[in-house]
Amino acid sequence: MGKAERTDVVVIGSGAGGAPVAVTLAEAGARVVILERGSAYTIRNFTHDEVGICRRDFFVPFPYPGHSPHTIRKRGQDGYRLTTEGWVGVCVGGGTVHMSGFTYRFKESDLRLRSMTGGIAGADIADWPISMDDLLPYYDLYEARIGVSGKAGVNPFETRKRPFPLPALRPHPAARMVDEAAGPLGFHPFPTPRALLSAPYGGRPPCNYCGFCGEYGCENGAKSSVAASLLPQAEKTGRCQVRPGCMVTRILTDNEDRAAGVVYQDARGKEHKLEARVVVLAATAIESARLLLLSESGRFPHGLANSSGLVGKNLTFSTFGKGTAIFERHKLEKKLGPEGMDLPFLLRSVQDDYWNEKNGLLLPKGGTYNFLLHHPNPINAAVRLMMESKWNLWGQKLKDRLHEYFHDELWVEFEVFGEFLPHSGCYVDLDPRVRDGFGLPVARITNLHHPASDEVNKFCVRRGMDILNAMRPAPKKVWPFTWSSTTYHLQHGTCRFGTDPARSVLDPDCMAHDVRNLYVTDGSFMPSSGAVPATPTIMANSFRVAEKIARRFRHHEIPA
Amino acid sequence: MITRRQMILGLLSAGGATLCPGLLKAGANTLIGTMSGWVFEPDRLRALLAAAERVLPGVVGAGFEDYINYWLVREPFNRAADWKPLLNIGAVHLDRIARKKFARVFADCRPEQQDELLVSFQRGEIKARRFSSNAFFQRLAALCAESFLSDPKYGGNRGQIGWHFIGHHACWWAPRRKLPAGLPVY
Repeated sequence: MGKAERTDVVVIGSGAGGAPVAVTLAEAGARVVILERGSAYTIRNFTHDEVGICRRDFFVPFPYPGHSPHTIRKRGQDGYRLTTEGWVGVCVGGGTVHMSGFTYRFKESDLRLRSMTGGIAGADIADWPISMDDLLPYYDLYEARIGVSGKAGVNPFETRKRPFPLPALRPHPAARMVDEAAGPLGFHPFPTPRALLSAPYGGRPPCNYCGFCGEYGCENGAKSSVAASLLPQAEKTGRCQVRPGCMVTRILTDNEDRAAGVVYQDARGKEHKLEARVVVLAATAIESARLLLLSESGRFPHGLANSSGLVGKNLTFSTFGKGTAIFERHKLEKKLGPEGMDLPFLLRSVQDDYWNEKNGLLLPKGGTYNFLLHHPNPINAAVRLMMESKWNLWGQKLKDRLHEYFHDELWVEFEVFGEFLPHSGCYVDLDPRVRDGFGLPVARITNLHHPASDEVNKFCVRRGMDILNAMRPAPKKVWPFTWSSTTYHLQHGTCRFGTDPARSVLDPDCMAHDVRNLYVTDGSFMPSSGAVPATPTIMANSFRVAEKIARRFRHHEIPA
Repeated sequence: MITRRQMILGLLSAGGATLCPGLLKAGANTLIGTMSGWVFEPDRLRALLAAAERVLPGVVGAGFEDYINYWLVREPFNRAADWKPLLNIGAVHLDRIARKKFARVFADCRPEQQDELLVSFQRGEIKARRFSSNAFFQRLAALCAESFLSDPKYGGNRGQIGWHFIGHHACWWAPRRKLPAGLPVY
């Protein structure tokens, strides 16, 4: 290891949690270094290569020994297996590069779940130590900084006071069918807000409506990933440097229980020491917990910032359900006309069941129903058709079916984002048997669902199916794709924040109770998963925390 | 006495890399294109291609062989747990069952005979130690779909034949080729 380098702030991870802190502190005058273990891609790397990107895991490490697997035990499995599950976009920009960009906000019922329910048996839920009023200005800020499109004032359950920075994207004409079906059933469908540009913004071009958003990098920069928006803004200050290919292996501490900096390996495998006045950890809920557990020392024998024993515990994902309806294009064209039939986005969401005391379930909460068109991935479609036929569909029958799918069908689907209750059966720890390419124990994930989460998700799928069935012209087939599974790239909770150091890892400002200049700003801080994708909330919170850190710098509360 | 078949199966299931690690690690597509025997023994390849053509008609002409060779020699995919051994052993069993039932290897059976055999694989009816015939069928079918509809740079979807078949313009729509130099870096 060479001579130690010094900076003001080191940020571990360049995604939704890291980039807002980096840009805010760099603009406030701090010298910031972002260490990102993945590569830096340009838009030239982002093509519609379904095999390379989706089926050979372009964005995440290979799940083989010597690379960087996770190990996982899911429901119904006995032992732990090697997996890619739990990895989120390992590249500059993190998961925001390949996100779909559904940008819903959290609601009061997400932050006050414990007090509003009075507690759920077997679940370890906690109220957030901050209020919606603390978050709202930062939701507005993140939307303006990255560029979010949507229509305000339509969703009666929305927590917003200001319009979106950009108007809503153009929906496929079948959105009208969702509106006509959902309204009479008592729902209030609204245009799904997206982190995609509907008009030029900040020097970036608008969306070209190719439809390859989820799983893919955006080929013209219209998706508002932090790599397209915040990171260039941070680098423009001249005080922020993004270093790709740099894997942090340890957070260092001094004798006064302060973080002294980090040790990392660069892309060539050379080890470096980087000293910093503030360390910000934002490597995803799973990898951040792993790094804290790996950074044990004499003073922190059970892992850094882990006096509560809660690092890695209370891991939550998002429960996932999905239903599909098949419509015949020629019938749709008869009703809706030919105009816009090739548009890729349906852009309709429903949140009427978000808080629902009448659902008769243990958890009086539903989720978000996101209506969308089937992803344009052709191989996925072919394999799905075969799988759902129990592999009976092959030969000429398969070819005929593929032709029908691509030429005369429109698949309308809804996805459920549901509350994933934290409980003792879902956590991350260090695998005692499997090591990664750096010789470090890999993250071991245990994922069992709380039964109440599954119940709610099934309820939500039934409700979504009601809407699909009510659409006209009638679909030729409607079926539930899954009643309740897990969305692994939405992950939270492993370093929950709170006021009591015995029952939380971070304080309300997301600073570790045990280490006064260590912050965690990815989804780790969240004591509840919410019933929407958390990326916007992670970004808003990261901007909030950044202002707290900047204030401490200004008030000379952080030693040089 | 070790039979030729046992030797091939042993070598392949132990990982062909022991045979010629340098060549396999290099993963040179052009080289492999002319030396596909290094990936699959010719008889096995013949059975696999015949089966693939029944699973998705037209897939062999669209470059199925080049496609599977591309991935099976490439680090780290050649180390994926089941790909190569599964396909090899599956090919052996295709011929074994075909000989037993129709007294000829799979590739020489009539199409309806091949379909009859494939149905029994698809349903998992072929019982053999440490071999799952439906897993083999599913892997083969998924590779057929991939090779027919993937980016042609991997050797399949020759002449974009698969994309033309589905009329799916978004796949080959590639603006990167039209963009001027000096792009902003995102």
